[in-house]
Amino acid sequence: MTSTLLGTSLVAYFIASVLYLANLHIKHRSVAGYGTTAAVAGFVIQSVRLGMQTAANSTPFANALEAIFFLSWAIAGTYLIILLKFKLPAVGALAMPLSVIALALVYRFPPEAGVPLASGAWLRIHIAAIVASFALFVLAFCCAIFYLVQNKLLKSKKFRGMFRRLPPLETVNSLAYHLAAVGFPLLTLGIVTGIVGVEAARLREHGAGVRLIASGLTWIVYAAYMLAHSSPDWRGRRANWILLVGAVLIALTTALHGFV
Amino acid sequence: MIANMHLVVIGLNHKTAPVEVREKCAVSDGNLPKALATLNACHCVVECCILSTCNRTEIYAVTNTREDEDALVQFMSDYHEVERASFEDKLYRHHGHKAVEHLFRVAAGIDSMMVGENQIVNQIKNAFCVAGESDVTKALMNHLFQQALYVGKRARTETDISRGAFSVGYAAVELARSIFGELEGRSILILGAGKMSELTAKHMQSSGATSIAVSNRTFSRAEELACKLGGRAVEFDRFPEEMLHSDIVITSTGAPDAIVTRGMMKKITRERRRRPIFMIDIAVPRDIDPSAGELDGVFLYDIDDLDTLVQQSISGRKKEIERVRAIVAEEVQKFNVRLRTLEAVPLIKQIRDKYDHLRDAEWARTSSKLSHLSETDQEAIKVMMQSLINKISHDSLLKIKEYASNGDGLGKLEVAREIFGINDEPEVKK
Repeated sequence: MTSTLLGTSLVAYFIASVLYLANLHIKHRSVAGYGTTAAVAGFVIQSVRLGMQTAANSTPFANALEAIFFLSWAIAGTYLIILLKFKLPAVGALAMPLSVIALALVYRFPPEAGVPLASGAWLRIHIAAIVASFALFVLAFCCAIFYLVQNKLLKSKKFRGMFRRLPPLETVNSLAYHLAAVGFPLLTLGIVTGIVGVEAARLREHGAGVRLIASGLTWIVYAAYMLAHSSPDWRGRRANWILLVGAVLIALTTALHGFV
Repeated sequence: MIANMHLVVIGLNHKTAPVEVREKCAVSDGNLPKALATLNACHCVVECCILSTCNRTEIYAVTNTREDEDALVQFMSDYHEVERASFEDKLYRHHGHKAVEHLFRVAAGIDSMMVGENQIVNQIKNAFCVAGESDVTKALMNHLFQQALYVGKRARTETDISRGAFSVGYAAVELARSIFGELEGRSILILGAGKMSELTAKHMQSSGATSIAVSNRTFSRAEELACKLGGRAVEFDRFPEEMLHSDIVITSTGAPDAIVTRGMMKKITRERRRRPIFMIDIAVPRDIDPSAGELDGVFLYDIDDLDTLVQQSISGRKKEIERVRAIVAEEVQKFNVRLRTLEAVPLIKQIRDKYDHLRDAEWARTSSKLSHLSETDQEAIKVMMQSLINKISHDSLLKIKEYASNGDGLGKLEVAREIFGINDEPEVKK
């Protein structure tokens, strides 16, 4: 049952991704609408699966794969909230494929393949905060990509192609900042509760040091972004490049937590 | 009734008539009710509507016969007091579904001078409202214009026919929107009180930009333009300071050299903390050093850039015409089906009236024998009679509607007329 729900939501997200990507090129305006229908359907199905998973294990993330599943759900959910508030379906052209990648990873491996995650109140808060912050940073990354592409098109005066379908520069810039501004304290909370949780449970497992370094680097990069956004020299293009670096570190940290 | 009526449009537009002719045949908004009343007074006109814009004057009418369209031409001649010969050869005439198709094309914007322009939808809406208020439209015209407005909306939401700028002013607004999103609350600085910058600023204003500052070497001209635009004048040597707070800068001074240098912009962008600044340089020679556009946060465009955007938009819109034509064709077909269903409406009404008449007659005959019943019981019998009539007539009336919508059922409608004993055609003219 849960695997059927997983497969169905994966298909729905995949359809949404294709439609949102098509929306950047095809001139039929209902394409994005169909994309949203697929995304909402996928999200509802995934929410049911998440509910069942939580009921069965009394936590939404008993192992690393389930945490990635939760990340995929959080990315889709955050995107849908952004869509509702800012009407920016273009963001879905990046957010939904990223959610699909995360979900496909979960689908690819059997449930037992995921590294079991330590239980304990601190570590639960740690995982929830980290995954939520990563979802926000992934969306901030999507906005940064759109910012950089639109900035390039505007600067080079290339008004063809997807120029008219991309979101306004300032909208994505400020959205990226706000997403990161909410994500950053969550990341801080996640790292602190992670350290406290590991100490409390006296877990000195293999790879904990590498993970801590990766998480620390991620924190530094986002701290740098927060500073850059308010700096007179770095705001805009340069600050958005930092979000791209941050996204690479997130992928690395997720891989380290999930598979090492 | 509708089978015996004739939908016709006669008119002239920018493609068929020069402005000298168009202006003679135009009907101003203020004169529209009077013109409609005059037209409706013609014995052969059942319904009518006049669409008059700067690019077209069209009379849509429902007449009793095809020949009656001549009365519309005569109306144009009489009303405007112009010789028929001076405009008759410029007129186009469309009948029946061709007339429907014409209005749908107009509403969709593919018959406009500027393909896909939005103004025409409001003009059609206005023409229809005035005709409605003047009580010169009925079922057919109401259906036609409501559907035309729907087609206009559909063409614009499902295709890119109205997307992109078709003038330098719109191009500037479009670029500003790609940078800032909505322009509400954005501030504009105009350098050089020229006509072009005034027009561009007006476009920005109508799109939501609120605060306007005007700076000009001759301060009195700055004051004059500021007053016109509802903004404030700024002394010319203070404009760099003003740029710190402006989102949009429009320059069109007659200065022989650049008045905004890269060095100046470098300092300004830093002080603005790289908040984007959108600069439009419509002066020739240019007022802003082009290399300033390379700075982060500066989006600089000259008149050629804006013109490129306009040309691209126009060619993009033209590519959408085929898709809009397909929508128009689909909607014309749907409308024709609906129109044919309307053919059955008078017959259905006559049948219902006949049944109602029978019911009333039967009740009048029987009620005296039922005087011993209470009022409530009598009422219940009346309800029962009505319910019986509805049930008996339901299937046959549905079938009549179906015959009408299939289009091949006009003969069948005649049969139905005979079966139900409806011999008289309803009255056609008002």
